[in-house]
Amino acid sequence: MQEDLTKPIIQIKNLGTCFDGKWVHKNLNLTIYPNRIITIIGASGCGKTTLVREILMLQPITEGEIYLAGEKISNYNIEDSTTKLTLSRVGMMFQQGALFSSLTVLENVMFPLFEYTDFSKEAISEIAQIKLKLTGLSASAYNNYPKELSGGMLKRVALARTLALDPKVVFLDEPTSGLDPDSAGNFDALISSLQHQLNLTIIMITHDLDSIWSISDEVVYLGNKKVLVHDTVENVSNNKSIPELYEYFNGPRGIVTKTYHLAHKNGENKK
Amino acid sequence: MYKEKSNQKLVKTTAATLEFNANTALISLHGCWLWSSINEKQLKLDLAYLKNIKTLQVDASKIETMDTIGAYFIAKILQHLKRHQIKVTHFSLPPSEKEFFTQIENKLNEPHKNKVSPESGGIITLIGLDVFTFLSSTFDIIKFFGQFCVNLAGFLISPFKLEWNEVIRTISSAGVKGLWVASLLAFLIGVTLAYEMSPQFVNYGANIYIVNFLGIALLKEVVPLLTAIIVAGRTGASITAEIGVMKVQEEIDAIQTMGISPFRRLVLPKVIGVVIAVPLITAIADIVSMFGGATVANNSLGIGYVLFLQRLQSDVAINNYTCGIIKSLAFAFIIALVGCFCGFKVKGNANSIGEQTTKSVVLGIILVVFIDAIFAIIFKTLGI
Repeated sequence: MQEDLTKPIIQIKNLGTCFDGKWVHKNLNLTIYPNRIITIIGASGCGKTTLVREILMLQPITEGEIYLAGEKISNYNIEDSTTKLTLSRVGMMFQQGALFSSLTVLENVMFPLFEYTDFSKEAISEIAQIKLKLTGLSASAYNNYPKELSGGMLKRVALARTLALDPKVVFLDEPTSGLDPDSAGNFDALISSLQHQLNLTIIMITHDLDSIWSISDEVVYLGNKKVLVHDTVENVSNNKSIPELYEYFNGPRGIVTKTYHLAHKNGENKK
Repeated sequence: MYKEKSNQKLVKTTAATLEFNANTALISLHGCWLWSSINEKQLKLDLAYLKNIKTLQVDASKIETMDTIGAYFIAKILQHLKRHQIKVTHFSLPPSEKEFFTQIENKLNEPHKNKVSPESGGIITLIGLDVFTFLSSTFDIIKFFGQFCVNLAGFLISPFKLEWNEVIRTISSAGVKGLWVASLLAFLIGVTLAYEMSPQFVNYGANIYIVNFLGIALLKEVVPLLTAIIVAGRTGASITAEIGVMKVQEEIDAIQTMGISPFRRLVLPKVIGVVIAVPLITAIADIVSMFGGATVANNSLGIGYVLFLQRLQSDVAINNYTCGIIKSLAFAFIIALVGCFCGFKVKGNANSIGEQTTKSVVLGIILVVFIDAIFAIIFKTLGI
């Protein structure tokens, strides 16, 4: 589980993405170091999901280079075995979970293990159960189908499936969307504890200010087709150079969350 | 002990190994205990050698790295030793991995509150379930038909409330787009039947009777049936899939919560559309099939097109044609209704859409042939 924290896990150089003559990204540069939670924020349509899809090789890039753990992946072919092995080292949790509706909860988590390993069925089933236990899902739900689960449970199963092959980098697309504040808080705590336990690098797209303040180590702000700010949450929230970003963290809604979390943080420091 | 297994570029790993030293009663674990570098079969083989041993030391302090799956397999080694009454006197791990390993070991040893493997019933249970499913499906079809009739009555009272755009869309997809397939097959069937039968007529010197044969067989039986089968495959399946996807995406629930009947919004327009389209394409396919037959009659039997038409007009009663069209109306109705019914039966998963689409086509074709048999009896009784 030891990792060289000084080497970037993801490096994006001069990335450009063009859809039908319209540039979504242009000269985008981003370096992400391991073992931390990074949140990507930005206005709707600024290309947050596109960026993640490009790192996951779900979408071709127009120009530039993407490196994953020092390996150039931007020219990989999705059908290559190398690409498949690379993809087994990254995990993605989709916004709606993207669970296989025809498989049970346990089978959903077993699926990638069957695909990549030649372990016995018993071992795979036990490993899948460990993953589900790590995400805190009750054993009574293991034989249920995704349709029979609540939103919070679905997210936990999706997270367990994402972690099935012990990825080093995990992408989470709006992990707390559709959850009530309590469940969202619990899910944030789960993400944070799993990040520590498994030494993960988590890259999260979210609009949930509570999530950003409570678990993010760094915030990446996308705007004007590139990364405009990449800093700690506190520094980003105090950055006045971009009015809309400042407004986001210090507007009527943002300031309440900011004040609460800063007070909470100071309280913890005093203790 | 194991061969280098992982060749991935991203993470260079050495294989996970287990070495047993009988002299010192020590198991040493080496290498990377990652999913990509663990060979479960080899591990089991290595553990099988450990027999007639009372105590053992396990040294995992030299492992390079470990993930959840690696921790699971190390925990399984300890479990195996315990099960075989081998006492582990000493177990060491790298300090950085201790807490993580303990967590995974605890998760593995947590008792299961619920049985995880699905329960399977005996043969009696399975037969019982099948009978129950069949009876409840039959009941559901009758109920569905009843609901349709109620909504049809509503449509007859106020026909303008119907989604006519949807009707036209259905006519376009079931009729216009399906026309060329139905026509092509009808032409080929006309040609084939005429070719197959022409030697028989020639033997008896009754060449001209090919017209009577083709007129009755094609117009009354073959073309309506063939067209219905094509429509069941194309339109029936597409109706099921369309409604099924809507069901999965809760669009039907949305329609219901708006106080709109899904029957009026979805089923009626589709059924009406198909009922309008199918007789029309059957009528056209009838003509094309006759043309196919006439072509063969002209080339092989020396019956010119004009003579063929004259004979058709004089010897083949118009009833054959109208019977075919009436049958196609019934076929269309049943195909569309079955398509909609199966669509509504879709449960919330992707497999279910496939299952119901298959069911829709199979059930549609079976019912079409069944109704065809009933029509044959009715027409015979009525002397048509």
